[in-house]
Amino acid sequence: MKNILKILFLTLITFTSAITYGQETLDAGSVNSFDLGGDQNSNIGTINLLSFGIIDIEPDPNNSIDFSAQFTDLEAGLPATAPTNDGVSVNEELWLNYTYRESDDFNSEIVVYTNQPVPNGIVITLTIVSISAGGNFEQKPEDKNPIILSEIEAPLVLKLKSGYTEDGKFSGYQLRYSIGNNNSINLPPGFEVIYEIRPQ
Amino acid sequence: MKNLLIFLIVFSLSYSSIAQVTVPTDLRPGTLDVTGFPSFSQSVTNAVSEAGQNDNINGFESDEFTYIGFVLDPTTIPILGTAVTSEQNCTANVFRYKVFIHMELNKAYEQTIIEAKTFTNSGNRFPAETLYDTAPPALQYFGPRDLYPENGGDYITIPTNPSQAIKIMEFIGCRTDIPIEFRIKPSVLSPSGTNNFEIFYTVVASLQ
Repeated sequence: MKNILKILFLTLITFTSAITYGQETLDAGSVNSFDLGGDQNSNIGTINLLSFGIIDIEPDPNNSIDFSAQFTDLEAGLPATAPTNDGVSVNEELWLNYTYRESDDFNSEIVVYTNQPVPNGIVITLTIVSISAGGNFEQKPEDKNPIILSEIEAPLVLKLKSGYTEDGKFSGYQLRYSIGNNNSINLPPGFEVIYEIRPQ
Repeated sequence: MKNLLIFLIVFSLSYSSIAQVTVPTDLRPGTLDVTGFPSFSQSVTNAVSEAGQNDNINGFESDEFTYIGFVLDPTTIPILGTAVTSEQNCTANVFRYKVFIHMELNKAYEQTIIEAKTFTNSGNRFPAETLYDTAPPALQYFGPRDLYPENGGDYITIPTNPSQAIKIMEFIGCRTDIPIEFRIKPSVLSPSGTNNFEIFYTVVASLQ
């Protein structure tokens, strides 16, 4: 027991030394610092930072989602689609990450749109269902309003403030895709959903 | 032999100077010269490239070095009125000089980090050669007139609190043209556009 205490004591001393050891500092405003002579001078520097925004959908790569029907999902008398809830297929696997620095000259928003028309008979709804706690970005309840996707840009996040979400799945905005497709229509080849940070 | 005698005379003068400078009224006035204007201009290539990450992941360096130098001021011998040049004063009074740095930065940049560094034995001895340099090592009481960067020459974060100015180097004897390089790690929360900041350099003589 005594030995353990000794070791603990020595460990504490070592730990204290590690804490107290640091780089040497000085009170630059104190005249006493110059007892042996010295001088002080300064120069001016300039910082010029860009306003920019970058955005991606995680997991990246492989951020495609598939609502195809599998043979095991099919049931005579029901639409030939993936399993649905009241006729709607849901996917909540995608997360939106962004990094953004504001400009004094304009406000920005995150908009979403498709690269080609959504076929008649298909309704794709996009909703932010949760917001991660990491990073440093503003979270607003109104960002959770559902959007019906089309080729027309629709705001997903309004009045974007400077911030970053952290990188990867489970960071930023969790997206819910809901697809109504009772007529079992295919999306056209190369169909994409595009997310963009742009001036309002 | 003649050189040794001259050195001993110079050394004894400087030794008496060291003994005297412990009295605050007997300063060794010197001038810290600073030239250059560090400028951080962000481009697309040095901004963060992965969505979700803060902009301070990589950082980027200033466009140009700042150069500092410290030499003792010229003096006049009392009564005799004889002028003593900076070069002569620096020859006769070899001290250890420590350089501390801090800055004033707009509060909007409080999450942005600015760092400074110099390089091992950078800059030039002033004067280039003295009797001190050729004296036996035992008589070079502060060691060679070289420059020693802190942190092994790696970057050191510059504090904004002047009471915590941080040491970035020390050198023995007067020295000129010491390059200082800067790096910024800008938070994405810091504002876009152009702003100024001021960097303060404090050099103090030390016997330790």
